[in-house]
Amino acid sequence: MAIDAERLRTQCVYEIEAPLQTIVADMDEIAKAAAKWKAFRTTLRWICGGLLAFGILSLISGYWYIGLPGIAIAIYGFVYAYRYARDVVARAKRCETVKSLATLLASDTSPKADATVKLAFKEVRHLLHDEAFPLRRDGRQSFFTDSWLTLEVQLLDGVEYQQTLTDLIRERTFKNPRGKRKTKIRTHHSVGLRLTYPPEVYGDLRNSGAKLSQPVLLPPSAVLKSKKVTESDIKLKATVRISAELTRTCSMMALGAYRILNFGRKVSSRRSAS
Amino acid sequence: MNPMGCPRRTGFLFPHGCDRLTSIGCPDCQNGQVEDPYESRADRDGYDDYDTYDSSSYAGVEGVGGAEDAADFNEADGESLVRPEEEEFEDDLTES
Repeated sequence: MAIDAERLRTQCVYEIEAPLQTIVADMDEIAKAAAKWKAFRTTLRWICGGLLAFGILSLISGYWYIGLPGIAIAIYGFVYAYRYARDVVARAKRCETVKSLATLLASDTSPKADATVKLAFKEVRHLLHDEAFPLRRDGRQSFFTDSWLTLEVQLLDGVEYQQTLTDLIRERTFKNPRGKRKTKIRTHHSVGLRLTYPPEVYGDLRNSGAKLSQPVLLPPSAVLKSKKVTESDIKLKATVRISAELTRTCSMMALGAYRILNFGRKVSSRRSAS
Repeated sequence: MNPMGCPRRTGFLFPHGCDRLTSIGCPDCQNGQVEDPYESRADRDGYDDYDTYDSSSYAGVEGVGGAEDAADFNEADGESLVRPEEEEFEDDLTES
């Protein structure tokens, strides 16, 4: 399926209900479009730089009627290049994450099954907490969330797989010793996974899931924040410090959750056999 | 699930039957050379022995006893995990 590039560039959201193979192909297409837009932005900046230099030279030489419009057009061009597809270009790596997730799930999903994906490239911050930061002069720190991916698909065993990825943003503002205002931003990631399982296949996992020692392994920069097993679903939540380990964390969380499910299946089989 | 499909277990997260009619060109069993592609997968980061649980895990689980793994996964389990897809072919030939 061809993506609507113009809509993506202006609205910065990719939303679809389609098989995983289609989503993988779309991610490749978005990555290509982002690379093209990035090249256009660079080219436009170079042109505007040249125009600005020409305008300044014209102004110095006394040709103000050429120089002034040239400088104005160059400034407009710089602003346009800065704003042009900025969010998609800046966060094009998110396509890789979605592609990896879709590839991961492809071998356990029917090729005909539709997955629902909403991928946002524009940062939409929601304030969580705001407080003073006493370690620095006039210091203040705010915490935000930016939820950018939801993926839902039904797997071959009837499990509803729901994945959410959210950025956790900490913004600190303070005055340095020279009195200059500084802003430091640090971003971590939060990974949410919910597997709604059919009890007739996996039984009730509340007891059997707890029996496993360390069922969920994670990369070094990830920490499991919560694990909840109910009679109908498994919910896992983890935070990741290093962006490069985000996909690996998603994969390991899914494997960990399925280690509980597979164990539940084995327990159910044993019960039936005895 | 096609009854004439490959009998081997495939899958990344859980075992299920293979949809392929033949093992030729299959990336999972590598042209039929791998007996159990599900268990043999080497891309499960951090989980070296993904399909095996130690006997202590079963201890205390109500209605389950013993250390032996008598009811371990088999091909039939893999098949039963898969929900029936929309029927493409008519099953009951007596109707027509």
